[in-house]
Amino acid sequence: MSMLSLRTAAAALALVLLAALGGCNTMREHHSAASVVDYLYPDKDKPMVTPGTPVLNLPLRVGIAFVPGAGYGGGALTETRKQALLQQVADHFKAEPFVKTIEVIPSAYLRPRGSFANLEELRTMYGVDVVALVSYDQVQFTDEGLLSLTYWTIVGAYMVPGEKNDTQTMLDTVVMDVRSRKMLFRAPGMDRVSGRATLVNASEQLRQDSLTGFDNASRQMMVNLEQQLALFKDKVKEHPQDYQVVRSAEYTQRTGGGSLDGGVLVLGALVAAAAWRRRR
Amino acid sequence: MRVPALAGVRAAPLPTLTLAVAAAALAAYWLPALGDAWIYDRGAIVAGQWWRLASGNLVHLSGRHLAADVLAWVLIGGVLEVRWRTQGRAGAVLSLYVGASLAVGCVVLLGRPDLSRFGGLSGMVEAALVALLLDGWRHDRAGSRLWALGLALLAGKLALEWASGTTVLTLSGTAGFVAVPQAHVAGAVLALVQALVPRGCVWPILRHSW
Repeated sequence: MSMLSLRTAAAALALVLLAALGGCNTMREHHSAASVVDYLYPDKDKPMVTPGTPVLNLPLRVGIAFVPGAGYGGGALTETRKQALLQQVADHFKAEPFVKTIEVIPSAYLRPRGSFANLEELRTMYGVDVVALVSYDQVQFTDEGLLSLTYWTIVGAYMVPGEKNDTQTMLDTVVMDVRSRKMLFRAPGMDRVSGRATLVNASEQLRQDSLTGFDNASRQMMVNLEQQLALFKDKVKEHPQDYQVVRSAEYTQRTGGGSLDGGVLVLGALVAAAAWRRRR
Repeated sequence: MRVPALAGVRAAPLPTLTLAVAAAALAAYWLPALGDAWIYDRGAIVAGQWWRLASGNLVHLSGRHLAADVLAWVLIGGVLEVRWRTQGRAGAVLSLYVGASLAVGCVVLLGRPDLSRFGGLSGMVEAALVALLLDGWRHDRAGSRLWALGLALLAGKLALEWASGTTVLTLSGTAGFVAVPQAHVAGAVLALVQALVPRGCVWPILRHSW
């Protein structure tokens, strides 16, 4: 074989390899997401907002909403499912004595990349002090190869490995104090449904896996929400310098105490002394 | 060599149950997670955490609230327990404490639906005080008029609290909460009921097991 033929063959092989690598880079995936980072901090060039000290006026008025997606479809997470999920989160807060009201805010009132200006509008519109923002990210890989998904959350990125037909889901609730722009706490929920789809039923199976992924992730998120809420209550008590708590007269009226008076103590002391002397 | 002045003190049994309740109240105040798990929380009780009906009595809402309640509890409950243990009625102490704590929780649950949280030992203190007064009145013939006077004064105070809807001459302070006189009445009534029930009729196992 001549030198020219060898070069031609090597170039052809290189082209084939490049084409194969290119195929991997353009793998197919179904992606639906609504990121709280994109919503709150859309402009990466602007300096980060420095949060102040939250003033928690008890009982709190809480709003809860899904952050709007940035051009992605919602996939299996329909508006009906979103409302049901928000209601579940709302029920966790409702049972707390420090919550006065909880408003489920329709997605239409949240602008994509609306940031804190949008949250201020919601505060005025709904009269809420604290907003729980629910975000999600779901990817379904439909090509071969070891893949990965990066979830961008408000506290950093998660890298999750994936395989063909895997469904990776993340739900995340971030609770923000609107006035101070400080995050009070967050509770994530993650799930991975391993690929079971075949060529025949791929579309239907992926849709089913998408639903299962959201259901499982939301269950995990609820468990975490309960834990994080309990931890947050402890944190407020242990670090009073970081959170200013103001108990309104209305809140005070909802807390009762068995309160002893001086008369009982005097009477009790006399009775105890007499009983002690005559105990035999 | 026996010291005559200390002979009675040495012979007195230790009021372990009363001290355990006081220790639990202190722990619930200093450990916020424990206080959160024990406090009377109406929503949590309705959701199935029924133990809070009793454990809510152990949680206090301020340092002053804790100090006044625990001081009175150790003084009155301690003497009652020593007296009843000396009489061989240790089981009655347990039944009074458990019964009073549950009675207070149930009365707050049914009678004060406006309250989402409640805490304080005072209902149990009132139960111990009524039990002590009734016990003295029953067993001390010579001083029965004094014991009866004590009972009358206490009944008058409870009636005044019930009518006014608040406590008088409060020691605990009520910063951050409202006083709940129903809790005091619940404790007092429970002690009265226990005194009226003949011995051995209620919880005979408890009464004979101690």
